[in-house]
Amino acid sequence: MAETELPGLREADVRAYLVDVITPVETGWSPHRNLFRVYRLPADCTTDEIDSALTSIPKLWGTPELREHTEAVERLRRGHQTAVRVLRDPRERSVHRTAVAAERTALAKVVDQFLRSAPGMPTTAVAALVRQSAGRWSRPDVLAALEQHRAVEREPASLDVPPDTFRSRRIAAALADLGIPSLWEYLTRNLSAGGPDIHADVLRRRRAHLRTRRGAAVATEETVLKIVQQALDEPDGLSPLLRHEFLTELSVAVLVGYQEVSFLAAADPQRCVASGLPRDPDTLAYAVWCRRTHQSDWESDYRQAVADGRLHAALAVLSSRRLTGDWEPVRDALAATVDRLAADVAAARELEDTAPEDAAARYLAAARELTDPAIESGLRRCPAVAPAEVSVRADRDAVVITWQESTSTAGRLTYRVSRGGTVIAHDTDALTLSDVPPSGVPTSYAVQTLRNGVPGGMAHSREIVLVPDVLDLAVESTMRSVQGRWRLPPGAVGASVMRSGPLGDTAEVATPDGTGFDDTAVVPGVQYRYLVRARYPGRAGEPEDSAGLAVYGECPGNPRQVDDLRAGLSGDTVELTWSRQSGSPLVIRVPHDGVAPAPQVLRAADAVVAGRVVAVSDTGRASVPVADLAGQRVLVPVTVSGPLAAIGAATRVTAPLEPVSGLHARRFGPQVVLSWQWPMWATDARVVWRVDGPPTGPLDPQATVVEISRSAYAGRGARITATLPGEHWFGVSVVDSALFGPMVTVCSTRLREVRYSIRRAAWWRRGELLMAVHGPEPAPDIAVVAKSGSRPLAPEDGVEILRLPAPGPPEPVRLRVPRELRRPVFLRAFSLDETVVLAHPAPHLLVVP
Amino acid sequence: MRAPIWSVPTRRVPACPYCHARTPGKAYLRQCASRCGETAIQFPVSEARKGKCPHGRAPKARRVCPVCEQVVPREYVEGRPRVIAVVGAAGSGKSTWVASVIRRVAKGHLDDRFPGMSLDVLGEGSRLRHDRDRVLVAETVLPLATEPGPLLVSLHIRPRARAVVIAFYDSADGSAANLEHADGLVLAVEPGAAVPGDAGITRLAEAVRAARGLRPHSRINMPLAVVLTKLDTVWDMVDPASPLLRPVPRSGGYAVSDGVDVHHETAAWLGHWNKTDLIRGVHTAFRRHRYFAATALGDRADGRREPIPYRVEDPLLWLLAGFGAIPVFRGREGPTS
Repeated sequence: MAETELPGLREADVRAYLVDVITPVETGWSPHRNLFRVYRLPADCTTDEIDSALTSIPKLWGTPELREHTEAVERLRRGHQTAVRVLRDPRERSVHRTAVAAERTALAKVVDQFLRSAPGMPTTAVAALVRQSAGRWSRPDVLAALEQHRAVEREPASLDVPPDTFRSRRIAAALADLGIPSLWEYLTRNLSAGGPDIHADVLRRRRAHLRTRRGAAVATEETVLKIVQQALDEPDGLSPLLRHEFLTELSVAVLVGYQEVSFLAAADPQRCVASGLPRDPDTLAYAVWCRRTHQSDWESDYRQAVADGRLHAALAVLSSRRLTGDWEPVRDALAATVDRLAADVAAARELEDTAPEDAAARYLAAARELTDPAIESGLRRCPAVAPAEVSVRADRDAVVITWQESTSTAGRLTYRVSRGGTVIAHDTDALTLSDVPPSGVPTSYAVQTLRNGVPGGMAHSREIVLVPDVLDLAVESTMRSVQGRWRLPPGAVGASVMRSGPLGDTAEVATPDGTGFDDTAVVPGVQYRYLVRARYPGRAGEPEDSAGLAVYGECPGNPRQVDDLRAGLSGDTVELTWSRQSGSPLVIRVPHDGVAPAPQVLRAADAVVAGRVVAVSDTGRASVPVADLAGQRVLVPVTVSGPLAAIGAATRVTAPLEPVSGLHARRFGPQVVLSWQWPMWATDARVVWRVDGPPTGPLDPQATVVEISRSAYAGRGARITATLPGEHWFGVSVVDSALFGPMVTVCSTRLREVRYSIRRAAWWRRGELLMAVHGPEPAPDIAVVAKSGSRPLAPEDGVEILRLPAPGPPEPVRLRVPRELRRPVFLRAFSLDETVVLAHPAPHLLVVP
Repeated sequence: MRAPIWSVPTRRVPACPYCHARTPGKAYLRQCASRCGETAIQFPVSEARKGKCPHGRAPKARRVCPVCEQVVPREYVEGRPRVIAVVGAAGSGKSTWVASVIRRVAKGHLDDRFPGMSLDVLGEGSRLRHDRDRVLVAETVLPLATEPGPLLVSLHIRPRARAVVIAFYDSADGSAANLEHADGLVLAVEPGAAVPGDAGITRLAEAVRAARGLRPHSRINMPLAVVLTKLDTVWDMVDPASPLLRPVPRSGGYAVSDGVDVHHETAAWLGHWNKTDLIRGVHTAFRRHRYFAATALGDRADGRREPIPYRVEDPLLWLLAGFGAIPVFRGREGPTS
């Protein structure tokens, strides 16, 4: 509801809303039963209308006229979210619409039963129906149902109903004896009087007529005339009698129906006039109808009035009728109570000026028994004292309101807290409250004391401006600047940033859009402190700043090389330490080939030359499992800063020098092939060997030395030529930085070799072979073996065809291959001395085809 | 003794290493480069004009077999590939032998005999297999099973020599297609008397005859190298003067004397392990054969070490000598150091 709309129109809408919604809610009607009424929407409302209503109606609740109905307004506010959901969802809105229509139909049936063709219902009947519905229907619902039946809420005219006296009973009996239905009938027909204004001559003439007749009827008619005469002598004349008679007839007609009543009321207008009843037959009929159909049970009315505290009304109910014996003491007691309470109220009235608290106490005491507007008026004239002081303080993004308890003592004291025109709390007994007002706007609070809900004195706080800090503040650094970003809270119009350096120098940093800054006036490697404050309009001409949030930023600049990386073994882990550099994590890399690149600054993308990454840390410490190094021992520190990287001085893991394992020697003639298992960290080994005994150590001066790297060993193995006969001792030690590990030795014996040959004898000596032993070395015992089809593998694998004892023949020896051996026959000479081997220059030729 | 050089057709229609279909080199398909976009097509080599695709751009270098549509390395199609089928019982060391030979050549361990010898693996499949086998051999872990498909390599004996393209096929039974197109056979045999018999030589000979359409019981001209694998397991049994405990000759070719010596020694050992059926079968079926003894991994008595192979290249050198790719030396033993 905009402030620019016509106030008259607004006032009318407010009043209508008060009647249609607020009052029913206060009397128990649930607003969820008809959201269309609550939000002033037609049943076939559009989405725009709904959106507009959901926005404007809640504002209506805050108007002063409705705000006082706090209970109803609070109930409406609590149900607003549900209403939003129902009205905005087409499906739910349709269901609600159907439910409202069903209720309307049901109520229409009920009202129809109440009306029974009557043109309306009195207010009390409407209220009774609403009360009986226990909140299901509201007064507007009933009125709408009346309208549906073309009926209205209508108060009946008041009827002066004369009591049923002895005279009326007597004349009614007499007329009944005469067979005359009514006194009016007698007057208009029998007496031809034309109405209640009967001339005395008419009565004399009739009386004279009756003297001439005899019988019971004459006596009865004379009684009637006598009563008529008596009535005419009274100031009201016959009207009371006629009125009583007519109303009785009309009341009986009520049993038939309203139409009967209406017909009877309209049948003889003169009778209405003569009876002193409303001339308009509709008015008369409706009045009689209401009196007869909606006249509540007086006992119920009495009890209701007592329960409501309306003792005056209760007393009036008892006083307006003839009571039985049981009720008279009740009336008397009630009258005494009413008198007492009236006296109390009067006494309170007297004390208002001098002792308002005592007066209030008396009023409240009387209010416990009596409901009287005078009591409420009196309480208003004795307002509770306002709280002595109301204080406010800011607590982050909220304001805490605190006040002192009122000095008043009478009644139930509570407080109403409001901010401007908005009620924050109503009828609270707390002494402190928290509220979130609009940021940056000067705000003050008012606390009003309520005595039993009646407003009393009000106290105000000072103005306070809530200025929360910026939101989501974040700082990041680039190679050349420090940048900050944040969000402004609602109400803030900008921000201010103050930079502080390590030496205490300060400078303001510009924030062009109020949501960030880009500080390029920074020195790389220096950490700065930034204080960011949100700025609010504040009071006129004086902006308000928040307390501020401090953050730190540092422009890294070029990366700095780490030159103190240290590595040490700790079980299965390599522990790394270095001098930590603020803001720059260190990447530990392992070169693929164990060769570290020279310290340098290069592009970060090119830092892969330093090898694969095994650890990243910015704490100055790191642990790397030994297995991750895969035998590598060189570690390179790389510092990355933006697009650049700095390769620092590499370090080497100092590994324990362990011996090789599984050392084995395999001799291939004069060549010995050594094989062993390398320790994890070993990359180089020294092989020493000598003939006369095991080497004394890796530095044995008598031994022959061969250095071999692990990669070379992997390629070709360790091959050593050891031609001299005898025992050759080999020792293998791991080498690392001129330090040797334990040496492992192995022995390989080179057997003494004696050459021999077998060839054909002279061409004419068919089948004859010559065997000769060559060389200065004495030959061992030799056995020459022949075998058919394949080469002999051992002295016993074939036929021995020649035995030569040591030291061997000086001249070639003749031999023949036995004829019985199937050709081809393979020949081979075996040394019978295990320390000597025999070698033939062309063993592939030792075949006799 | 002079090692025979068996004649191999110098010009013949290459067989696809995957489907073995013989297709002229010019019938192989080439593929447009990616720059041809959605219009890229496959076209026969014969339709390439000045080496360009129909769109006038340089096509991809590889060839595609028009039969099985597998990518065949250009070197294989344009070269004169030799097919070597490696057969033997399961677990006899076929794949290990192949991997060890390739590794020795690729790592330059024969440089002292063949200076500048280099080896290139051809094709993605061969490259993946080589990478796997290389790691397994280095860690002396034997592969559980061999994936099908050939291992294609290009071997340069000397830096500027014409490459010898070799396709190794190893399988337990030797598929018929491999035997039909093989230029040489390698039969892997385990030492010891635990598995007597002919080591499948009879069945192998029959398969070769059937694949090549030879008459039953006819002698096969295809060279056969019988390799006694896992020599390290029987080293301690060998006489110190045996050629199996002698340094490998350092000749820049195939040393016939050393080869014959090893041949006789190995045959003797096979006979000693009751494999006379094998010896007889080899002699009967194959006109050209030789026995070899080798170990791919070396001594393993004390656990895993770097493999130290011994004489694994001998069978390949014998076959290369027969193909005329390397010289042959009658040779005495050279200096033993």
